[in-house]
Amino acid sequence: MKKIDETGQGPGRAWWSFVYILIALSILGLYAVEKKWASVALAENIHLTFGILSAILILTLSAYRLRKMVYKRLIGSMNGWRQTHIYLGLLCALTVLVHTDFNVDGIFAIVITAIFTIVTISGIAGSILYKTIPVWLAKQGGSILEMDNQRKAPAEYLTEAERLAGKASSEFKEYYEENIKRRFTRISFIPIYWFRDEKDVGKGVKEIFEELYEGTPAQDRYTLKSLENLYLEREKTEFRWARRESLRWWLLVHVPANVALLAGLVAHVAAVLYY
Amino acid sequence: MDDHLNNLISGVRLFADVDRKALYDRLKYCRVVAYSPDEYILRNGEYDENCCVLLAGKARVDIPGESRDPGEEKFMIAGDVFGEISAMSGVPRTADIVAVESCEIMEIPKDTMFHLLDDFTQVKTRMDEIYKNRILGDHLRKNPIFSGLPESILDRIKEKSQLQVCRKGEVVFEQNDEADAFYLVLFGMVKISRTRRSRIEVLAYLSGEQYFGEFALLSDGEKRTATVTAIGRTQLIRIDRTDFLELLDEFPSTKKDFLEAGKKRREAGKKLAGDTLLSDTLRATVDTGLFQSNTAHLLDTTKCIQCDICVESCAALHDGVSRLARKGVRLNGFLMAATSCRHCKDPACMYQCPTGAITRDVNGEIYHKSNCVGCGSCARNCPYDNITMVDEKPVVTEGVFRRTIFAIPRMISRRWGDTENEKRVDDDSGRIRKSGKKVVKCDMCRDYEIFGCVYNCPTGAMIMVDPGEYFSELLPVD
Repeated sequence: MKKIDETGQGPGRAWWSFVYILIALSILGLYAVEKKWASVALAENIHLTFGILSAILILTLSAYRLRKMVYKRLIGSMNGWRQTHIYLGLLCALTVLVHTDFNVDGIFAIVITAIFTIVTISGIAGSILYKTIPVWLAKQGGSILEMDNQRKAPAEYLTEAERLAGKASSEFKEYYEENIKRRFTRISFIPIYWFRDEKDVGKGVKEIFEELYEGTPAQDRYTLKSLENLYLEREKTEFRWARRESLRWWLLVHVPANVALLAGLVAHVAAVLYY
Repeated sequence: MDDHLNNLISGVRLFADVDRKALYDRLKYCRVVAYSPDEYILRNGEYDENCCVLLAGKARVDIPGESRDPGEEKFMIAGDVFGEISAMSGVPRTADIVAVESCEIMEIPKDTMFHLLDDFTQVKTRMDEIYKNRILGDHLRKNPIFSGLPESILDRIKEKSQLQVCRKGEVVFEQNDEADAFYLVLFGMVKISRTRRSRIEVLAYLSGEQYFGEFALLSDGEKRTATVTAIGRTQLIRIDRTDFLELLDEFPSTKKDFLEAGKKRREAGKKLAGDTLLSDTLRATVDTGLFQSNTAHLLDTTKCIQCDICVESCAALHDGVSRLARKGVRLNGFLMAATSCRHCKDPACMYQCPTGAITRDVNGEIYHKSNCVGCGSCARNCPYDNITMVDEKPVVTEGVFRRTIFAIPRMISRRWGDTENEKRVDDDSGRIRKSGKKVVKCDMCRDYEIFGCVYNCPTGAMIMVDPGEYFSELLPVD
């Protein structure tokens, strides 16, 4: 059977950016003309049109979730849908602003605008994360696909640390229980990792263990070095893991906010029709 | 076998002097097909691995790129054999064969043909001769060094050369061996490597229409400078040292061409040995057998966001069981060959299928027909573990509600009922499957207009490529 769209690669970013800029300039041009020359009635009609367009765009953007549930039908490649979703989202931000005349009046408008801002910003953040995280991981010599295998469960690190400490002197074991063990039992997933550089992770570990070296008997320093390496490995893996997980975590903001936005849209349309 | 067929077979030179009883015992797996005039018997470019014997009638051979005037056309007559190139090497058909008169064709399946070659030395000798003459002429004409030689010389090369078939991993010759022959690669691939300061350096990978072994013959040294190993099942043409040198003495310009090409190849070899990323990528591509496959699912790890939609869509398109695993072999820094059927050019899975259920369509796609009994022979033979056996009924993850509701009926069914997994009537053949297993492998979404995994990948990380084309730029130039 003849296959369509074999590569799944849609038009490139340059094409999308060009089209987006063209449409955005047209909208802003229309807005400028409306501001300068249009009568009140015409201006109202233009704002209403942009309102209807925004509503349609919001519904279309939400349809991306439905596309993710349809695998067999020939309704465009998923990659094409994702790109359309991103650029229509950006366009929607513009049409909404034109619709509101760049004014936010009243509590309802403030709430809706806040939700819309969250959706837009989380959407932009998501598209940046999708672009950067896999590349970043690949540059670290890892891969998003291999992280599940590379990352040991926190308990495994602790078991390994216990095994290493078990070989050392009884004095060191006590020292381990007091000063080192807690580092391996700490909560592993720390969102603060997102805002740190990986080099700092290694640096921090070195500083911590340099302090510990001073109080360690000479015969147990090799064990301490092994523990340091293990801890460093744990920190680095957790650091990468935290960044990888951000690919999913941003959706926990974007999707509920989008649902709230849809509810707000329904309320807004109902209110407009009622009054 | 009836008298008519008996008479027709006795006219086939391939089977002359062969014990009739033993021959007929093997030929019982063949079928005889009638073709009317102007009907296509074979089509160029199609995958079909039967070897054909023209029992009666006359057929025309149309080789693409060769235009012949009326009266100069090439014909097959009763007793001729054709289609052996695809059968022996797994490549698509290389010519159109069109019936000129009403024809009767005996189609010998690939497996049966190999049994015939194993059982009867006379058949093997004649078949090798037919195969070598047809394929070698074509290869020599395509090779830039030999293409300039007159037809009579090419005929002489054909005469003096021998066909050599190597198994995977077989060493053709080793470094420091006596240089006794020149080789041409017909099908498959070889690895050229040398040991230097107790380290093995890969210098080149050579595939169809390329040659090796000339360096030691042309230079004064008589020892091989590198080791050559077959990577998969490989067919080579061997020309003895004396014959090769005789030919070069006769055509000094060809010798010059060889020396120039050798210089380029050595430079490329040095480049490959010195470039770790390139050589690692090539090694991974070759070791994973990607060069010997028709398609590959490649995952760009710098684009993959691990959303699993590729696997989910594959499952959705194929009865709830995915034929793709989002893991595999890293080819270089970012590219990964996902675990999925590659539709090999020489598919090991197709040998030994007891019902002939695993088959290849004209486009090279390998798929299972409905008469598969789930024996798992193909899965065992697949060298890349890309065929899996699963329970006939896919395991569906259910929520607590459904599990609770159906718990008691299922318990009763399991205790007293007729378990469907162990007994199922096949739709087409009416046979009963007893294995309770079914085979799962990528069939390139043959029932759909899309490749599910590629079409549904949201970031374009999954691509489907022809590895030969995609990685060809990595291979050193000749």
